[in-house]
Amino acid sequence: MGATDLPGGPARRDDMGVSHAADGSAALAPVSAARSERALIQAARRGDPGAVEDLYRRHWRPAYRAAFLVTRDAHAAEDIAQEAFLQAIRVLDRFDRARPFAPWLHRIVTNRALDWARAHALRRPVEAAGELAAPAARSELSDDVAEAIGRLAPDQRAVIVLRYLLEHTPGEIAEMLDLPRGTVNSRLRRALDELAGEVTG
Amino acid sequence: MNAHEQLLTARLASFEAPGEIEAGERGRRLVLAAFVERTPVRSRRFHLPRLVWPVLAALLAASAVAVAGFLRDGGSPRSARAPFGAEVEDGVVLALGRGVASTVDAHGRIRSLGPASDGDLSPHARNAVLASGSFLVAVNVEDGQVRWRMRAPGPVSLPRWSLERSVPPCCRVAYLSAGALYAVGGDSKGAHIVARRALAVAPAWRPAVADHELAYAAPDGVHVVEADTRRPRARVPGRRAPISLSWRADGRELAVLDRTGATLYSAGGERVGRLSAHGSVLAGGFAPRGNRLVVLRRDASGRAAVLVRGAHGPLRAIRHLPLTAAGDFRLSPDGRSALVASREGDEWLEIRLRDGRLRHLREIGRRLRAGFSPRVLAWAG
Repeated sequence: MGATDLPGGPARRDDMGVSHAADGSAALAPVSAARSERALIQAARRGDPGAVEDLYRRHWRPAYRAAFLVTRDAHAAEDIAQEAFLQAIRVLDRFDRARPFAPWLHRIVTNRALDWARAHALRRPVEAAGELAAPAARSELSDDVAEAIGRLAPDQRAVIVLRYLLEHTPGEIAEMLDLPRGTVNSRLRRALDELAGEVTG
Repeated sequence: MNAHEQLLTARLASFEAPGEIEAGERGRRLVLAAFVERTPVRSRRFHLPRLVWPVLAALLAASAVAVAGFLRDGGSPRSARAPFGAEVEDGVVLALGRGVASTVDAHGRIRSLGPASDGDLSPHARNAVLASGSFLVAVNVEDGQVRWRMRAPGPVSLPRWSLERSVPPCCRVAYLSAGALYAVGGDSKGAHIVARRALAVAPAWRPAVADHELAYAAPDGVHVVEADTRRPRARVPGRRAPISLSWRADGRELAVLDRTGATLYSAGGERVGRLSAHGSVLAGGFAPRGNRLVVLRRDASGRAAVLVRGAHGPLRAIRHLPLTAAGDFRLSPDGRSALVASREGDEWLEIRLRDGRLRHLREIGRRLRAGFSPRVLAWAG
């Protein structure tokens, strides 16, 4: 799985370390591809905040997007992605440098997002009754494909996101979600069938 | 990948989630701040003779299976299952923040159970009962599924699950609504009024008895009744306004806490003794196991302290807490620790009762995604 590169372009940094895109809007700057992920983790373990920032910039957007596509809730996605990075900071000293960072992060993000989506789906009939309403802040999905993914069951959303956004193999997905590989394949197949019209249209 | 899948990959590659730039910037600051605050562990390098490495490799190979399992979980024993880190050392805590109840367990697993204003856990923490407006809602803690939901005559408060360590319908849930005390079966059947007038003090189920005996506070004192039949078992006059009722684990003694201390009564209602807290009592009760009576007190200087009494003797302060505004106070299911929710900072304090050791659970509301310093409704398991 290749880490998704962060879109960027010419950017400057203010004195807070926030980078700004050419149009003046704050944006996350691209990272140097020269520094390998293993080197970044090693540097972070030595206490280098720049390495942590580089890791964050490499992995934030895929993590946030994955969490958003599974939860369909911007606040939940932000919390889930943030917590995954904070967890990474906490276990940094115990992290196995030989292993790639992204699958580890994606496993946490997807499972947390899936838990959230399932719990939310279970609560919905109660909320719908009107007595126990807890309005959740929800962002509108602006993209057709994302909207179509949002209509899938949470389990299907998770496998679609892991396969086609984060680009993991079905075998990796099976390991991440603790599922038989056949289950992953059948969920993918069914989800793809449901998405067929939106993707090609 | 076929053409359809390639197209989907391409469409998702160009997908932008709403708010990702702003959220990314907020997260960046948070993550960097967390990184700076952490204490880095410096790696030690051992220079071993070359011949030692094959021996070490052989030794390590013997534990390859365990290592493989460890690595599968991402290099951390709890990483995949417990992304938030362990919040409590034992059992399950029911927390309340932003109007939503959630549980967090000793592995750091967090489960959102639904909207609530109050709640309690069953003894094994398999079920939670939540007060939500005029509804009492029982929720399966493991999957968050609502088991049942029933309407009460008015807003529900202080629900308390009885102490049988088996599954519904064995048990009862007591709750207050519209100034009266009610009880209902653990399967939502048989809801009935127990007392027409009850004070806003949590009712206390008597442990270690076969029938469902319940202590509750009324304007004329503290009563003990059989919840199903409403048959009175004991009554103690209310000289002081009670703030908490608690049974000793063997069910033989009832502590009635008021603002200045605790009065102990036998199960039959005879007064056994009086314990002064030498300050203002905020909360307290008997530990779920053993004989410990634990009290949270605020002294004249405004500081909070935890007081403990064993089987005998007075209440003794074991730990002064670095806060003056304490919120909820709960004892661990094994009776070894207490949890205090701070109302000054976003943290819970866990106090080991044996020696007063203090553990700060900082940024607890943020970690539980439950607002600022969430309430601690129950601790069970």
